Amino acid sequence: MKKIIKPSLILVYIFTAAVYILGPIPESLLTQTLYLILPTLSVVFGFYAINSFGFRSATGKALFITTLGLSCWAIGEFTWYWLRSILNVDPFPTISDFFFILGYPLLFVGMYMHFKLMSVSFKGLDKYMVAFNFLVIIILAILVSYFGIYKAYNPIEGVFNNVIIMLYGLGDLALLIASLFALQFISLYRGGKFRLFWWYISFGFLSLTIADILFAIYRGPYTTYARPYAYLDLVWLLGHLFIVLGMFYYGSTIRDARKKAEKELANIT
Amino acid sequence: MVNEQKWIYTYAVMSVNLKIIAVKTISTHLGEYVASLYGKFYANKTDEQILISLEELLLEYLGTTSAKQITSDIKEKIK
Repeated sequence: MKKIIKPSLILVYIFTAAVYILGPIPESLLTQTLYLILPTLSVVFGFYAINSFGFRSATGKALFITTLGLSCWAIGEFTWYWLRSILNVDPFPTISDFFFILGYPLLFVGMYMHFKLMSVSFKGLDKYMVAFNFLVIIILAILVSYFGIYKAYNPIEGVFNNVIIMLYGLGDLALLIASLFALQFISLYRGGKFRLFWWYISFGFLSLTIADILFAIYRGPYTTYARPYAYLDLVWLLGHLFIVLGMFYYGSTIRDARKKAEKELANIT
Repeated sequence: MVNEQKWIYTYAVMSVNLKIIAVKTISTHLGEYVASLYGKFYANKTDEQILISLEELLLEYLGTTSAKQITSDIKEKIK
């Protein structure tokens, strides 16, 4: 199963990227429909991971909140698609922004819950790695604050629109802190199977944040779907791909652990 | 006789506590179902066997640093 799903997910990304670069204009219905696959799969595999883990424990709940955040983003993508590609109306500001913005705090809370649960074992962390992680996050936070919040203010837009644009910037800061939590697990779980899950999640969050920063810088040309600015979608999709791979890996690793425990129990009975 | 009873009582309480802590730890990291299976698996195991098994399990999934930290914290708790 693992051998089929992982390469298939990577192929979905490669195919979408090929259509974006070589296919018809990036705003075509085909391209925009393909874009929806990976955000949808992040929700599907999020629930797969929850189903593998169980919902009652605190970790299960943290996983659920994280998946809820991913679900908000997927709903945001679908409503954006519906408004922009089907109804041909300007999707900003609309209900899709509500779902996109709601996704950030949910992901932050989900990651914070994970972090709190594991905090008992954070004593042995590599100080240099922690310092490096902080440095990366601080650099990105400066970029987000400058382009996503300070420069995002546009006096021509109304107050409401400006508030929404700035909320995206604040959401990115929350996502960066969530990334910092995820990055700590990479150094904490050195040598363990779960380390790969946190690599995926960290790369996923960081890719999404970088895409958001680029969007804040190139908002104008991006909204016209001009090449190469339209390829920004591929950076967002890369983030979604990492998250999908992470959720799938987590769920399947838990399932492997279940099989192993069942075997051990069968050996003694 | 009194001392022996006290020792048996202490040992029994410690053993139950360790099983509960071990199962809870597994539940946090590997989910409820895996934890319930290990709960059954630990039913007739000694404290030492439980700790070795738990450390091996955590080592596989969480790596050396985290596994050692968690098991040493558990040892401190049940002292």
